[in-house]
Amino acid sequence: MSRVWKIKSILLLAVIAIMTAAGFEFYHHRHYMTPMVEGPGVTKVVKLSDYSKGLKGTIADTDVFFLEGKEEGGKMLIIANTHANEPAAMLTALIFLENAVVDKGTLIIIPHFNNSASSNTRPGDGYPLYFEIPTDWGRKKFRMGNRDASPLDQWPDPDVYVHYPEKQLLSFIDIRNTNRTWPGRPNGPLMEQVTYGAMQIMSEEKVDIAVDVHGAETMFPVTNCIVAPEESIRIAIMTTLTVKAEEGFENHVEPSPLGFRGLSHREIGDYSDTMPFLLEAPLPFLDQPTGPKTVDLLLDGKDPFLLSLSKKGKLFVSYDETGWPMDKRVGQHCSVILELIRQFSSKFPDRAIKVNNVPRYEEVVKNSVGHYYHDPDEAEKTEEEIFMSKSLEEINREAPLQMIHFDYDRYFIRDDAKSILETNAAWLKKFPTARILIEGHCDERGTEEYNLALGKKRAKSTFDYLVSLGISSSKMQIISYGKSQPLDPGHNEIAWQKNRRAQFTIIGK
Amino acid sequence: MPVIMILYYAICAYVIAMLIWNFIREKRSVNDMLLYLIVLIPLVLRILRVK
Repeated sequence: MSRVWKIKSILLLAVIAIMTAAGFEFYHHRHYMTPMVEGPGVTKVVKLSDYSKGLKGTIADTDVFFLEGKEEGGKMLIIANTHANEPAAMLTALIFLENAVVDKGTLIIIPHFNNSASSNTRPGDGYPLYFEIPTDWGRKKFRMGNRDASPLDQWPDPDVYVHYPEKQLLSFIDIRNTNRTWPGRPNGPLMEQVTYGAMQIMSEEKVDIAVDVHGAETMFPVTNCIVAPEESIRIAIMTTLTVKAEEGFENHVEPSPLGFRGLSHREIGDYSDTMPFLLEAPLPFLDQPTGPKTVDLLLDGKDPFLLSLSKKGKLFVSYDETGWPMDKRVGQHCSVILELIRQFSSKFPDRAIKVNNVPRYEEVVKNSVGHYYHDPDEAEKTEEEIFMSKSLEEINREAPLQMIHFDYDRYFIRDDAKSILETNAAWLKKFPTARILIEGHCDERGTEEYNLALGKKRAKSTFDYLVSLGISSSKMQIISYGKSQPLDPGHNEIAWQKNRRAQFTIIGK
Repeated sequence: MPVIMILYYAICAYVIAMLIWNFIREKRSVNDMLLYLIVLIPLVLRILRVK
């Protein structure tokens, strides 16, 4: 081989090595799937392409989760990751997705609305590719995205984006920004097809309220607020006043500008019967005059330059050494969405929506965001596998069997206790290997011997009732503690009522 | 995929082909050889739909 070809081979190998190393990282990021656990409220999952056919087979197609209540009511659409570099939105949507139980009406959740932007790193800004949130079961890894869709999916950009159908001239990059392409069209550029899909959901499913969840710079006036057009503004005002009064965090209302086209709150309001709201929480990570764009800045929102600007009165939100932690931002979003539901339901009772099991601001701040995410590995296990993997201490700490209470000096099973024992029996049938100890307890009145005998009768009557419900007697033991283990050490009727009980301990599995 | 996007990918492929051809033809300047290869990287990543 000649000297020239030797040099060429070395150069070629070096460039291929660089390209492979970089390419692998980019490929992995583009195809990373954030693990999501479908919570107890999820009743069906469809794709956005079911409403906008052109998206089928593209990376812009995304999951749409339905959480339908048993009772008919109103419908709310929650859209997150319209801008995939504002992750508090997606974290909020996942809290709803993994925990919410809908009693009345329907929640429709799109956690990765601009899925192409979620798969895209931001050129030039040195964004982290991923970030992790600590949870009760380990660290959950999320993908950091960009504001705009990837040019891999929609390319080239025009010199000027002519908005459809209002014909307003917008910045060229906004053709890939799903908060400028509303209301969209079925045969437009890909991001117009994405927003068209959401408009179709609202029209076909008769959605009452749409909430587009975002984050914004602390130096931008439209932050820490609800943006609402004319038809939504009363509910938005009531919501901000209520969260401020009841939960103590600042939130204000910004009217949706009439002359600025393509935004969700403007076009949903003008082109559908749905009431739109856009939520903004402060996001110091997006501010220009910050230090490096690190994961810490993204999660804590602490930055010395912003602190200095805050002291000079240049920020539109309060800001101190504690920054703007993710827990606060997500907590605010949760509370504002729940409050919007409450205000809407009180104004339109025939279209009311009732959602349970979603934490509000104070709980999220206290427990942290990660507390509300479930282990995807556990979600794939059956209930019996999860039960078998836990220690007896862990199972008893969760108290799967509720205690029952008795009348004074009595040991018959009361009506209110019967339904509790039926629930307990159902649990014991679900886990047939479980063995339990039934403990009889009494209040402090009477002698020790008398109470030991009474406690035994209470344990035995509980035992017999469970046998009558089909639980094998071989799985149960009884014991009486008399008055030796009161739940409440008080010396009044309230304490005595609590102490007259039969309670359960799991002793085998 | 819209026609204009296909055309842009076709242009990308053409530029890649030209760069490889120039790299093969280059006999003297190592700097030019390296330049052709470095300019190639983003275009190859784009046409492979990686970045």
